[in-house]
Amino acid sequence: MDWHQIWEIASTPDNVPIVALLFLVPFYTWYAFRQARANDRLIGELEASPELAKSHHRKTFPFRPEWTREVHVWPYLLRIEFLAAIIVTVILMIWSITLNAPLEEPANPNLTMNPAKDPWYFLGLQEMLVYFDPWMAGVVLPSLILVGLAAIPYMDENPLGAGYYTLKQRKWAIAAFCFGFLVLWLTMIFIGTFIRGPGWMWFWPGQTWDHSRVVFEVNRDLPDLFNITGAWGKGILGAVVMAIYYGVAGWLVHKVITLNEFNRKIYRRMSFLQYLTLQFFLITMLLLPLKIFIRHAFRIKYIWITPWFNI
Amino acid sequence: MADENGNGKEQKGLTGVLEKVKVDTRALKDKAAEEIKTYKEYDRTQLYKSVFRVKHDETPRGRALGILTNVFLHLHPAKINRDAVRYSYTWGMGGISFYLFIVLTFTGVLLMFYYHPTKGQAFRDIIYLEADVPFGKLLRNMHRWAAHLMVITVWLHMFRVFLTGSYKKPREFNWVVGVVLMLFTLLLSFTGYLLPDDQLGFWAVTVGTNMARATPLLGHEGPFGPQLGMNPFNDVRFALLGGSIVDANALLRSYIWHCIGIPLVISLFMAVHFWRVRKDGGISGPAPVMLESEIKEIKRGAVAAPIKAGGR
Amino acid sequence: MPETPTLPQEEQDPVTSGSYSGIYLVASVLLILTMVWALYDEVYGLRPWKGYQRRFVEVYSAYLRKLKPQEKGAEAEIKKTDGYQELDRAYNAAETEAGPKVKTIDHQVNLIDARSTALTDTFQTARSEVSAKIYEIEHASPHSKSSLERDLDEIKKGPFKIELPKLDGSTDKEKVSYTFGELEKEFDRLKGMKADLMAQRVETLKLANDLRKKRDQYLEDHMTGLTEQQVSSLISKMQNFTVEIKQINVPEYGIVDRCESCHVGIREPVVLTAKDMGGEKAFTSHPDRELLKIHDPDRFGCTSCHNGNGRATVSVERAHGHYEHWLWPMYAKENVESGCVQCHVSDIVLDYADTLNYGRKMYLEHGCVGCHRYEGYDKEPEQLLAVHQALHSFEAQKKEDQKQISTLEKEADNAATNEEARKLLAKAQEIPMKISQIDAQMEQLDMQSRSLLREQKKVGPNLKDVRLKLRKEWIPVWLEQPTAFRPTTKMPNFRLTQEERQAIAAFIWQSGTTAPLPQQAPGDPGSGKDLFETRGCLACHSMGEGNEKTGGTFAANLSREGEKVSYDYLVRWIHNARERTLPYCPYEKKDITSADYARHGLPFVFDQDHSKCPNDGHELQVQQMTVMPSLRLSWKEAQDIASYLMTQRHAGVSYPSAAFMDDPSLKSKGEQYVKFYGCAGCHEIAGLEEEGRIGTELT
Repeated sequence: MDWHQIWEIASTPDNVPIVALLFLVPFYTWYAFRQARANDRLIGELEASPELAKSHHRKTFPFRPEWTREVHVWPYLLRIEFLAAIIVTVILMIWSITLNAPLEEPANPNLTMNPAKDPWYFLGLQEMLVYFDPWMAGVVLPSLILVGLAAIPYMDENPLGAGYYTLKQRKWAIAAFCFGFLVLWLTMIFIGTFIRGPGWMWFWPGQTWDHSRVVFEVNRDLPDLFNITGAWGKGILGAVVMAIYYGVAGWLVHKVITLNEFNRKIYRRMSFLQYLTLQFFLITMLLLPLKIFIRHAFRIKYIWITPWFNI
Repeated sequence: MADENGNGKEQKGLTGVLEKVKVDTRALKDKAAEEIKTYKEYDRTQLYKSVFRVKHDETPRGRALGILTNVFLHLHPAKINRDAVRYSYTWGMGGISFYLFIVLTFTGVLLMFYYHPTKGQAFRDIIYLEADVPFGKLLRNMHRWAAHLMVITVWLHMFRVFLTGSYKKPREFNWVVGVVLMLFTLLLSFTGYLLPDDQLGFWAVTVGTNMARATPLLGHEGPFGPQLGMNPFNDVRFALLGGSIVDANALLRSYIWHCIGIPLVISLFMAVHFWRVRKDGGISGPAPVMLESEIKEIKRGAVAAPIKAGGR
Repeated sequence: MPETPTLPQEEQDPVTSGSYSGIYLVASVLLILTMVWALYDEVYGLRPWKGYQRRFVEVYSAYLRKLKPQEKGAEAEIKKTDGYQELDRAYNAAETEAGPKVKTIDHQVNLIDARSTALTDTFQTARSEVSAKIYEIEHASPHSKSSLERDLDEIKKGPFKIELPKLDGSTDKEKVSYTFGELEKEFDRLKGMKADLMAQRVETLKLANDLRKKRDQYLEDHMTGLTEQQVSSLISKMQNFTVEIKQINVPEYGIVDRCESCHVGIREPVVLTAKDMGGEKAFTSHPDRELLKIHDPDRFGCTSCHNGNGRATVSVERAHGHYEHWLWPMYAKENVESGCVQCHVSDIVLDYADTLNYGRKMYLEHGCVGCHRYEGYDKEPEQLLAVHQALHSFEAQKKEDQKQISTLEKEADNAATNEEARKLLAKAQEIPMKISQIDAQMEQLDMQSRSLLREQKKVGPNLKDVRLKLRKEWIPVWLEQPTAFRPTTKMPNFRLTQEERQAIAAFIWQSGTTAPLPQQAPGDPGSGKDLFETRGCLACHSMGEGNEKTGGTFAANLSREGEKVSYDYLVRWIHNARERTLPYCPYEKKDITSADYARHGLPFVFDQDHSKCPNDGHELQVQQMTVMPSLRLSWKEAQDIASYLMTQRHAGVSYPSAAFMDDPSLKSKGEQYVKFYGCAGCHEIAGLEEEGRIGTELT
């Protein structure tokens, strides 16, 4: 267990933000879910008793009729904002005095760094390069991530939970987002920072980063498993497999969308276009973990091979 | 008595003048004291009133006007929901991101005084900033760490907005603007990464821009790119770098995107973002919880009534 | 606002009733502390050089003050000497002689000055007015010129009334009224008078000045340190010292070196040691002042020779470049001469760089270049390779062209028309010209290869001769541990296993040449010893072991030569070390035997004058690739020396039988090992003449 190696990675100046992320994200997730649980308890109480539902002020925070419903921004909001600014400044200054921004050797096009890593916020994309070709991992998928994020409000027909934390009322939306953000995006960043070492090889935490390590990671493509060698054969097999995947995944997603009465209610509110868009993004999002799995379990690299692109 | 008279007159003239001077001085002193007393009420002076056009006293009116008449603060409404001041709701991440952006602009401008975006000078300028420029090390570090912190706060802001469902009607468009802002934040960070011209920045940008050559249709190594006549000297990567390699041109372009191009665009989008926050009804919550039974059925097929001729 | 009654604690609105004062106090205090910390860090933490400089001023001033009376004492000593006294007396005499005259001149000059001063203001004002008017006149239109000229005359008329002190020294003043012309004339007159007087003054004092200079030069020449005056000026320099970044800036090369911000005393005219400077090593003087005279730091900077990060001043590690990402860390003290190599790449011997010179000498003497290429040492192997590659391609080209001729001729024979036939034949006739051009180029390459072959040397002896030269049983013993036989040998210990040793020995033995060696008559060891010790052998070779060793270090120690060599070979070698058993043809990559010569009807003679290969006409390697010269010994002398050397042996040493060396099954294995260990880098071995160096290039 090479603690020194872990310290080396964690204390590299540009990796300190990820270490910060490792503490901040779980904290805020817990913070949000704590509030969500309190709200869900309230919702449970209100659903159980209609009179309470009529008279309650509908929030978990205390309220008395004598208190004003609205408070002046000056001073009650501004003082909090000013305090936040001071605290953020203090944190930033202490960070700046104690830790130096990195400056490595002068740029040398003839000497590649090993590993040559993207800035940490793009490490997720760089990790995806292991599983997809650059055009897919670097252009198509990031674009789909952005478009997908932008499309969220237009696909979400669930009117509940607008303006308060809740888990019960938005189970699947929150699950899907947390899966995409925490499990896929942030985990890929974590892998890219702490796990991927020289040669982009996999090093568990505690393993020393050895530049001369040699691993057996010979991959094969799906057509090779079935001994298909012709270009037409590969193309057709790939198309068929992709079609099957979309079909199966689409069926599974549909199962989730129509899982219980509430889900079905929301489903009925959705237009066909919304439904298709949601299906497309969810299925494509699932493509990544699936690819990761078959790569690590079966050493399969490409599913669909055509003369113009490989997936 | 002519002498006496003469003398007396002269004397009287002299004393008269002295008296007049004494009286005038006293009157002047009193006037001055009066004036100084008025200055104690500083908020009644012309100077003050010309700057602060309304009274800023501790009345509801004063508090409201303090916000509404201030160009910086009128971003806020005069009053907000009592529960919206709770940290546990918003986490303050949006505001903190904006504050960090201001810190970055401020430190960034100061750094620009000492930085030449040329191949030979850039690296040495960073060393100069670290060693010699008064507060140079502090400036550089603050700039870098504020940038990383801003990416983190932007992500936490996005997370919070999602978890509180604050993208739902009527705030869908603002969410889209937010996604665009996040993209620009990442791009600002990325363009700034290359500027020290060291191995770290150089190879990060090489890896990043190499992905551009794989763009479908527009990159010379992307699907269908070569078929459309893309080669290393005319594809989208060439446009990004100003060349086929990451060299002096790439550095200059990075610098311009980082200092001028993207900040201008991001400021525009920020303005829209803040405007929409207000117009969409302010901070979304904490809103009163809604029960499932209270969901209104939407009328399928309802379409906005066509505008009749003659307008209405 | 009327006072609202305050509600009990639990009923108060938590949003509006809480006070933030406490937390604000904490946050504000934290912020202020952080800013103070940042300020402190900036002013002191990041600027250690300020402390260094202040300390230096302290320590150096103390040192100088201590030095001053010492130098004063030394000065006083010198001033007591006769030489100084004489010069001093001469100077004083000259000065006293000149004294009165100088006094008069000075007095006169003062008077002139007084008069001149009184005159100057008026004169200058008048002159400027006149000049302005002249300008106007020059640029005036013709019709206004005359009126302007009249104005000028008016101005010039004046009159200028001044009170001038007299030149005779009397206190009363002279009232004068001048026109401009007179004013000017008086001004010039005074100026001229003063000039003359000053010239006279210099003349008068010339002797005294020269004598004083001589006297002071005497003092300077005899003083080993600084004079008292120089020390005083240094002390006052320290008093006016400003604490700031001291840097050397050479813009053409982008050199910005701030080393002197901490190494403040490095160029001080005094020699400072760490002890003098209170133990502070940073304040010592630069060693080798003469070196600094040749490499002026103001033009070279410091980092050109020492490396490090000249720009960094934040800490010692950063300034010396001893941190992770700086690619040019400062050289350690013992390696500082590495910095010389950055410019002086090809100097074999470099002044002031003894360590470097020794290193280069060792590289040569230990034969490192046999395994490791280094630019500038032994370039012959690569060049010969290139030459022979070119030769091969030319020969191939020639063959192609020859074939072309016959094909063209054949085509011409089968041509349809006469016209065509003539054209083809014309083409065929051009080709021989091309061929002769190729021949000329090949001739040039042959000449090049001739001189290269002559220059080419190998670090170790020629192993093709082992059967003729060496005792068979000796070879495996040598291979096991060379230093056991000859402690000063260049050959490394390859730590061979027994299997490797036997295979290698077998291969070397079986690949050796078996050509006949003429038998030699025995010689006289006694006279051989004399010859050995007087003919210059000991310049390179050594004899004797341990404390008794005498002779040179460059070539082998011959104390046990008798155990190793065959007498006949030794005689031939001593007679002419360059004499070779068989010539080697690098073009065909093999040894040429007498049969080859016979086949072409040529006598079996090969030397510098008969260096062409009988098979292909290219140059042969006709000499042993050793640096040992021919000492122009006669055969008798060679026999005597050889006999002497054969007596040099350890008594009672037995060599085990080495029958395995004739085992043919070991030969191919042995060749593999020989290739693996890179023996051919230092030795000429049959079949492996073109092998490259096995080690990494060290340039």
